[in-house]
Amino acid sequence: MSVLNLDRPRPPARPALRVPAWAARAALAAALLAAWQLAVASGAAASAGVPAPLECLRRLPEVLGGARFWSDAARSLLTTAEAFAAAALAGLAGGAVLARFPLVAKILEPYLVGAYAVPVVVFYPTFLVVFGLGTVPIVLTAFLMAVVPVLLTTMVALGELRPAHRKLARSLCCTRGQAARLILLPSALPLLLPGLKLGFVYAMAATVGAEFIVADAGLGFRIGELYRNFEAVDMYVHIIVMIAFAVGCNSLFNLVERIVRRDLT
Amino acid sequence: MSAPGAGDVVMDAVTMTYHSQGRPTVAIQNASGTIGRGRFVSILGPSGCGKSTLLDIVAGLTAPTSGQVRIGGERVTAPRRDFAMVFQDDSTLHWRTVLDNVALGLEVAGVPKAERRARAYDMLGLVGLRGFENHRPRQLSGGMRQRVAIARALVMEPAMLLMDEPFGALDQQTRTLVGIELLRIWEETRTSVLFVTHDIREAVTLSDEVWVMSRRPSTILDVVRIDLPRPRDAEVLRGPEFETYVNGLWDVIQAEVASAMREQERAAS
Repeated sequence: MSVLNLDRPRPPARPALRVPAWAARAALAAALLAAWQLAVASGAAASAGVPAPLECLRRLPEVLGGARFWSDAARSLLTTAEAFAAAALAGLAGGAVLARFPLVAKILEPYLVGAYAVPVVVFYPTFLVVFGLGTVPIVLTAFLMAVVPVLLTTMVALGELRPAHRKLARSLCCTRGQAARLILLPSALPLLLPGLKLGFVYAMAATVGAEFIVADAGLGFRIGELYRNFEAVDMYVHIIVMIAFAVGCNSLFNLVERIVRRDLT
Repeated sequence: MSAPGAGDVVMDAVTMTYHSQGRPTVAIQNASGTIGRGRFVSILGPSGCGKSTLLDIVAGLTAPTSGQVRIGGERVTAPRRDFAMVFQDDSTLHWRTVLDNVALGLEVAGVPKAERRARAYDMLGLVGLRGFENHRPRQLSGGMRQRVAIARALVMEPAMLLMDEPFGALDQQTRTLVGIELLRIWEETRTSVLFVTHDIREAVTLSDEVWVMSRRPSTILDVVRIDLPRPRDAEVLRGPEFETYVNGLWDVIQAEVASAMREQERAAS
């Protein structure tokens, strides 16, 4: 039977699954972990040098109990946060300026869109030469990665404000602050927030990536070091915690989004 | 015409010239008229004739190239708190509840929360949206959203209500019904209204006076007083007099619409 069978009436939709979605998701995660465990136990994953999840789980408390892990995590998060904060400020301000001056935006647009495609990490060695080993070259790399999506989405968000909303603000004799706070910013938020979220994801990816290449501390650096020392279990423990951090940060952003965007409630 | 009264809005030789590609284009030329206090005046004209621009000038949103707009002798040079607008496009704020949408102007004006909510609530009763105060605009139909916009304007108790094709985005049936609703609301408030439309029947149904605008360079071609009795119930709106007004206006505007259309076709080709 063809997928696009237009002749036959659709069968009535099946009654909704009785299992709540979160339970199904948890079951899926458990099944994947079980498959991983089985793959390692059966020797199928031996050539990949992957440790079993249970082994990682046993090692987890020891890694989390160590001071080194937390100093690495703090370093990575701080670097990410610095790069993201700078990117958010510069991106929002730059996007607002470009939305205000469409001619300038039109001239710069191909460069900005092009910048989106550039893997900024290739400039990391240059930054290392100029600024030396430390957080500065990493912050700079992560900033450059993160600023582009924030700037572009800000520009689009402010450019797509409805003319009726602008007119409304003026006709109500809003001050600039009132217009921004009551009408224009909330109207732009549905596009602004995803831009910021994307910026954070880019900042974190660039930070860990740069640390992985050359650094003196940080989760990315540690994962690279453990890899080179054949400490597979510890490496995977770091990777798992890293993933947990990233997912946690993303959830935090979603939570903020839900609080700020009152139209979603 | 008698001397302008205190609440009258006077347009005095309003002219608007644009410069596009180095060439001046006269959009509005010497448009003059008086909207008497408590009168419902419609500006009727072909698309693109500058009706909305004229409305923006009266609102103080756009400065005319020459001429002026006055209310009670005072020149309008900027948006005013005692003028309220309703736009063609949906301008409700989708993140606010219906009640908070209606209270928006009062919030901007610094009215305390309890008072503005009470006034907005009363106004929702007037526009027939009681019971929807905690809905979001997205949960409402287009006609209901325009009623929210009308309530948001009227809650300011404006001296002048400026409406820019407020029902232009609605389908014909909804448009007619919301129009009748507006009549009922207006008859309770008796605010001065300047109403832009290209719909002849809508203009006759609602107005005390219809100003017919010519094509570009636009000016007020004719002022037609609509002496139909109020309230304008079904009997009035189906009567022969109503049709006489509609046909009379169509005769005036027909040539303008036809040549405006030819102009647009020329511009497109």
